[in-house]
Amino acid sequence: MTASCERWCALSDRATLGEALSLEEQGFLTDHVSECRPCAAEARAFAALSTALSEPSALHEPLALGDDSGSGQVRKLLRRAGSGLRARSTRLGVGALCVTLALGLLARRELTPKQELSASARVTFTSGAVEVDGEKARLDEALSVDNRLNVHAGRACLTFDSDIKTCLTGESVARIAELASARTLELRAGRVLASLAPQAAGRSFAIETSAGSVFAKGTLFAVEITATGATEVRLYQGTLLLRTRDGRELILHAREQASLGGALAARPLSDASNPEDTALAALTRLDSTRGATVLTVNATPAGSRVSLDGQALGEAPVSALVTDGRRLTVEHAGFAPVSERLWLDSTPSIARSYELVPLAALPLAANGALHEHASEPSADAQPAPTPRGGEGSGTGPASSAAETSSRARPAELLTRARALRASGRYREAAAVYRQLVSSYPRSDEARVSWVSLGELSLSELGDAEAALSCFESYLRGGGSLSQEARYGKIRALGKLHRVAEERAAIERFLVDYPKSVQSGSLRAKLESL
Amino acid sequence: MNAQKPKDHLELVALAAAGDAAARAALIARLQPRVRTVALAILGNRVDAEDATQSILIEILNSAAGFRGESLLGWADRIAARTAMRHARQRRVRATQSEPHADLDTLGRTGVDSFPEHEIPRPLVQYLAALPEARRVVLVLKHVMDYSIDEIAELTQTSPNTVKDRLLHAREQMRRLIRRDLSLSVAKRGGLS
Repeated sequence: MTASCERWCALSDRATLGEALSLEEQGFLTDHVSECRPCAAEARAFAALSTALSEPSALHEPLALGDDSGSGQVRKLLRRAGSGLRARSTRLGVGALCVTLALGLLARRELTPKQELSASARVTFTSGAVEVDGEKARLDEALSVDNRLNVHAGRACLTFDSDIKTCLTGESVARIAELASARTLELRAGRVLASLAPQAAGRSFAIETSAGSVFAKGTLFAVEITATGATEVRLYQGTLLLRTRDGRELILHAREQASLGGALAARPLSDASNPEDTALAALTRLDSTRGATVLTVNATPAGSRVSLDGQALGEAPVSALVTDGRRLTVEHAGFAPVSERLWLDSTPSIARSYELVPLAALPLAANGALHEHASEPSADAQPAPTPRGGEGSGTGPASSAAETSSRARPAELLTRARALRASGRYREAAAVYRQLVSSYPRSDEARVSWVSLGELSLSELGDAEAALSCFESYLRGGGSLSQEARYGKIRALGKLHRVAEERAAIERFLVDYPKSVQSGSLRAKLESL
Repeated sequence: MNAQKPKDHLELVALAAAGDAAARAALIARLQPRVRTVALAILGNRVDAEDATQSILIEILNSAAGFRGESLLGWADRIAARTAMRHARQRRVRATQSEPHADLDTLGRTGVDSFPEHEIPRPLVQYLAALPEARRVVLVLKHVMDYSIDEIAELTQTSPNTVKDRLLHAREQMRRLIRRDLSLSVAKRGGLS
């Protein structure tokens, strides 16, 4: 296996575990799979798995290995992608980030110029206040030349045909300038990030500003009109042609940036992980399948944040095209978050309205059923998600009041601590964890809390001493979280530069958990010590 | 049936729970293909999957009274996954009893090494069958059913780290098998031309 293949495999594994990848890493996943047959075969295998529930035949069809023998499956997968039947794979923000990218790329490569002749543009995502020609933007509605998009606040995405995704940040204004072979978006204010696959012969995409034009064939780039009126172009993947109004041209390569106007010169990308560009790039990966279900989410209090499968969409109200089975989460600091998995059953549109409940107002809950209390879905919404547990099982026979009370208190504290942590109030969460372990030191909840408090102290509060103490407290009694606690202890010792102890702890960990998910990184760490 | 809304689902399942024959038949017709896919993916072979499918459908009908109007498919998926896993466990126990010295890490897999080369390209289910049961279950719950790591940990009653560990090993094993088959496929084509 080549070094590139090893990197691709490692990145796709990381994505499967839910780790965020940088723009460069995402670009690598796309680029590599287009030129590597083994990795493409692997991508197809996992993509096919993700279609199995909607297309059971996926399990029985021969896996396309990249030669002629399996090309039928590729075409079938691509048809599913095009028709939206590939619902589950398109919602895999998970392991199949790479798969989705790979399939997207393959799909684009299979498109013929004839298939792409009818140029179109649609609004495929909005959050906040977004208007088209002065009226509230409607999702999946076709746009025409001269339609003007105004993103007053939040973000919005436009999709040209099926393979050019553009997302704009708040205070952006753009106009559809051309919808022929050279599809063109005029940016009058703000920022746009564009993601497009290699275009068929004779097709291109351009972004125009008052300073010039940016031409792309297949790339990921951002164009921003700064406060001074300058046009900045940042290129993450591929190449771009920049042309100023006075006819000067510049070829921009990956990881370079340039200003249109003035001295037209390429310079290294100053911030390869620009947070706003990264957020916009994530939105370009949202589903944009024509005819997908339109999801609208409203929530109070104002400023409630909405995410799908952990991917931030912005503040409510949010409208997005979604496919079956994605997890919707709404949260706000100081309020209990709500989360539910969306099952659409071919519904053309669904709406959700939530009234988040302040944490302080939460009733006692022995079973952690926070979401049931927190959500107030609208009349057309499905009921709130049920607490985890067996299907059809109730909460069991009621025990005596005293027993319930004595059990509820540590459970309530644990629920409260978790909710505070989920809403980003780390110090308050830590305080509740401490209250729990000091008030109910022998409870199961307190045992678990030592590890949670250790992680919180280490990862969020920057207090390695406290973290070490927590992990050691847990390890004194041992339990099912010993592996996590020992791994936390190693990281805490590392932060405290207690090298000898860290080395000894790693060696013991590797003896006890030689095949654990952390063992690879710990072996590397051991060599570096 | 696909266009049914949650309220319709609630009514359908309620009728099925009350013993309405037509509703029970409709519910089974609606869920059977999906349930069979879950069973096949988790168990790795058709015979066991057919048995498990019957058990799952019975379990669904028996649990219908507890359906609270949440997502029908999500509710059925959880029952299907749990029941199929129970079948897998029972199969493993039987195998352990008949082969008391068998290696636990290899139990529950068909052994792709024994698959004839002429079957390349193979159906995906053969790759799944080649995985040890514990890894296959995690891989299916993640990649086919799209459960989160935490949800899988809860379903399999293991820690999230164990789930991650099994998932990465399962992916690595699939990766090796696919690459090996690709090499064999290329060699075979080269030999024929």
